[in-house]
Amino acid sequence: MKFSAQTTTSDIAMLREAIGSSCEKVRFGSEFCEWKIPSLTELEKAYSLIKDQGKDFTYVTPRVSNSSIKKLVKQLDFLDGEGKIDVVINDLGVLNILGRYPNLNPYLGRQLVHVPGRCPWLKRGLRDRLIEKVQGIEKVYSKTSLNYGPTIRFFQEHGVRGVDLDLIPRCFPYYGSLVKAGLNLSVHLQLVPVTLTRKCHTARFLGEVAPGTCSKPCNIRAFRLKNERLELEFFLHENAVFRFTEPSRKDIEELLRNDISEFVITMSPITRILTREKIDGLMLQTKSLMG
Amino acid sequence: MTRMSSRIKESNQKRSKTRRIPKILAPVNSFEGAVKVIDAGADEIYCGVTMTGKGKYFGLYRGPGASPAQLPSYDDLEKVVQHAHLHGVKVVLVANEPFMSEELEEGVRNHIRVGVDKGVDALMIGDMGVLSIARNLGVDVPFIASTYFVSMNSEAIDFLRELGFSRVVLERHLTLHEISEIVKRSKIDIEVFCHYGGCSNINASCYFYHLRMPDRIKREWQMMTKSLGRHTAPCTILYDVYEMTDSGDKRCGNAPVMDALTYCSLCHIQALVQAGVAGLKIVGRLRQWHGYGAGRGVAADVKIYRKLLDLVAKASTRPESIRLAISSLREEYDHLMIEECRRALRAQGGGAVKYLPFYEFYCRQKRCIFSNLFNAPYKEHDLKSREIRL
Repeated sequence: MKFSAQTTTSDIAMLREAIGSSCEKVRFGSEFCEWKIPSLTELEKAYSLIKDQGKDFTYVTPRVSNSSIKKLVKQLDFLDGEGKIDVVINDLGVLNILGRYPNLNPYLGRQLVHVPGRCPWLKRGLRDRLIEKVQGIEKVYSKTSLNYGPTIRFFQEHGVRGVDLDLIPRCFPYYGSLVKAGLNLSVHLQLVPVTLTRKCHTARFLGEVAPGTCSKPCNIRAFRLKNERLELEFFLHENAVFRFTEPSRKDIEELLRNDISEFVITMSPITRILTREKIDGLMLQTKSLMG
Repeated sequence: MTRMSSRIKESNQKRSKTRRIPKILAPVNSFEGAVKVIDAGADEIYCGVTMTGKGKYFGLYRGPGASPAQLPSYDDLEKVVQHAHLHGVKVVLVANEPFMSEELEEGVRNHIRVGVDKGVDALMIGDMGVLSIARNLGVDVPFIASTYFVSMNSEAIDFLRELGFSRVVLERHLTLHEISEIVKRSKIDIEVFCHYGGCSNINASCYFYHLRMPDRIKREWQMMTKSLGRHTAPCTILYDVYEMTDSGDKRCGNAPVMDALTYCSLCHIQALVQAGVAGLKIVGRLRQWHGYGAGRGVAADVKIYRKLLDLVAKASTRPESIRLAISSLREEYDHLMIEECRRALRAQGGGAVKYLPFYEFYCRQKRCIFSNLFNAPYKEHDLKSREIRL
């Protein structure tokens, strides 16, 4: 089981912090926002810095429009020439393209796996409608879309060998079967995405006018959102809204029993994990729960 | 055949022979609704049916499954299909949750098999698992890729085409330029959403399941929806916003930060026609549930889009005529909807209801689907609604 630090900007200073941490792997790229896809030069530099430090490199890609596909293709050409590399994909079009690159392994991103358990009020909603008492249905809401045989087979036939998931305890009993089916499992610590948009909520709140001219304030800024009626709080970063979870000892033990291959630590202004010390701190904290 | 159905069929046939314009696709959740939207000029309708067995307890989005968005039974579907076919209108059965599991398999298989037996013309699918079920059943109807596949680029369209889809509904959050590029390169038909339900967030990645809201919140919001005359949901409400900094959280406002809903594309119809989209999809299977009569809100949408598309189809129409037509169609829409509010009030024996006129709801708030992605400003709270009283 490895730890991976995932950067959320193409800023080399942030990347150096990830590389300088004790994580075995570094993820570079953009998970949610296509306008934050790094340039080819930034990718080349990041790749060489990460490899120079002897760390595993994973490239992360978001959902993309045609213009970003053009950008990605050049990057994938470069990566394919560097040997076997995992590429986290969040778009069916990118999955299609990866079929042309023998060295690039598609790793299913969180946007291509539907997980009802990400719903922030699922438990209360099911309880109120007594659905939790309907035998057989209550567990459907704890599964992922990959727990259905034909779906996982479909993705495996398209070369998918791994999948990103979240720290959602109600789903843990169903993670094990994905590993048994042959997928590597990466679990994101802390941030569970509950919704995302192309009409970027951060950019609009901060008065950005258009994606093409966006100054990317999300590189350093994030927001906590509260509404007392909801009795919940959310976290806004980039074009995504998250809820925050912290693992308990029981959670970590259950995940380890399920043979997950990686814990992902996202470097984000939400978690304030932006330095190597903070990454190492969270790693230590998680390891201390491993018993 | 009645005189009315003969007229509708004739006009549908005429349109399909002469036009190079997109189809209007309208949602229905009742037979009465289907009658109204077909009469208003829909070319195609789409609907779900409440599944039987365990499936009736399942629902994430609009179905099939447990949701008032569905037709209540397969007998209703049969009636809808017969009526639609009588008028030359096609029926698409939705089987589009972005999710499948063994527990739901039998229900979905039955849903597709019975739907096809009842004569539906196509299936709307939003998940690879559901696609495998439909394929294994060997049903002989075209498959339409739902917005749950989040198709945003030509590679995704090619991928879906190779999987057997004959039409793709694009993700809502694309610009006109992006749509036009995709259509140009696509070997299959492309549909776009054109009116209502313009989600702030990408459907397939949004876990604010409205159908699974806790009862207390749902009740409060239903009351707010009724009193404000507009939908209340997690993505439309006000949030206290705190910036997270090293020295702690700093309050920086109270705003509907997630409210980026865009609803209307009347002013962009010409551009969509020029882009070559094959279908314009109206949203609103739940509008009956929100207090309007069966299908009437949707019928008003269909009517104005039908009139505008017919006008655009005429090569001789000048741009200023279209601008003028849009203006009068807004008024026509208000008239239709106010009538509808009155009808609803009569049915409940009196009372009052607030109605937000078209201009206030769509235009003043810049709720245009195909303008710049960051265009929609935050909802204004001093919108001038009209009180309709009986």
